[in-house]
Amino acid sequence: MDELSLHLLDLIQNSISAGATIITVSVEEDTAADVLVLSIHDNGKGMDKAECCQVVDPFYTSRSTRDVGLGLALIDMTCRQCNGYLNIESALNVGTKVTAVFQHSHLDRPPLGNIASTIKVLIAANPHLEFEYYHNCNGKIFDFKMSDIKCILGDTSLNHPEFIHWLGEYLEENLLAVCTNLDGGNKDENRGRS
Amino acid sequence: MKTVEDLKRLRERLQAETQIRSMEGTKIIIGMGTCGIAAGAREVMSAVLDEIAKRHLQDVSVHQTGCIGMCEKEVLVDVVRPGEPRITYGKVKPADVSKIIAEHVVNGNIIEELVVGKIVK
Repeated sequence: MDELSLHLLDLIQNSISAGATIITVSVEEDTAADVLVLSIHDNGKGMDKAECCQVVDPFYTSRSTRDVGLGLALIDMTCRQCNGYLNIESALNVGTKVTAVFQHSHLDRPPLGNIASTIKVLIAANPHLEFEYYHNCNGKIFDFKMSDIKCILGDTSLNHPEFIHWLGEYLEENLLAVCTNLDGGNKDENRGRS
Repeated sequence: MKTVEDLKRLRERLQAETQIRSMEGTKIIIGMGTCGIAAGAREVMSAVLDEIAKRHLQDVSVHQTGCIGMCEKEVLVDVVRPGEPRITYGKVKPADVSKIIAEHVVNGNIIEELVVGKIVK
């Protein structure tokens, strides 16, 4: 994965597979302390201690289609390559909180990438998720809550193509305003893709 | 800059149009497992959403699914038109999306060279 926003999308899919209805994501960038902290908190079915210890093993998975599960293993590897760590706290029938910590300036730290696209795609497929995205970049804050959107738009139009299109642009503009002048900001169009 | 307040202006029209949208329409399903995401599923899904918005397609819904075990063929995109077999396209790139929507979703012509699977109900 060449963007942290893709890891984020992947981990959110885990939450959804675990039956989560409330998912809160936070990204905190503090360049003075040189840390970037990404966290995903859900109310899914959770895991017991034993399972919690196994999940970063690439040969552990809870699904049945194949014997490998790479999502958490990949982000764990990336964290450790960037002088950071991955922490997983979970309780059965309560939920899971995954926290990934990186050295902000580390050369191997992937850029945040296109967070707006990650959220747009997530909401389009899961319009009824109670989703919150909080981004704090050196004290500049962007806080997005689906509950605010629902207050205005109601429940019925949340997967309307025109709303999804608006959402993508809204997130892109607002994230750009928060992340300006930072390496690894929101926009990432010049990165090569194979 | 766009604000959440903008939505108030969109609200009435979107709600009116949403009532016409039926769940009986065409479904597009995108593989969003770790393998799909690593292969570019987010960009493909974003392209699908943009194309649907651009063409004002009313009866198309977009869904996601996890890993189905054909990781080497990701990005996988399924198109299910009502009453027709489920067609799975493999190694889909964002550039293929407008063709899939125009040819298959709108006009019902399967793009054989991209097909990796077909499920008849």
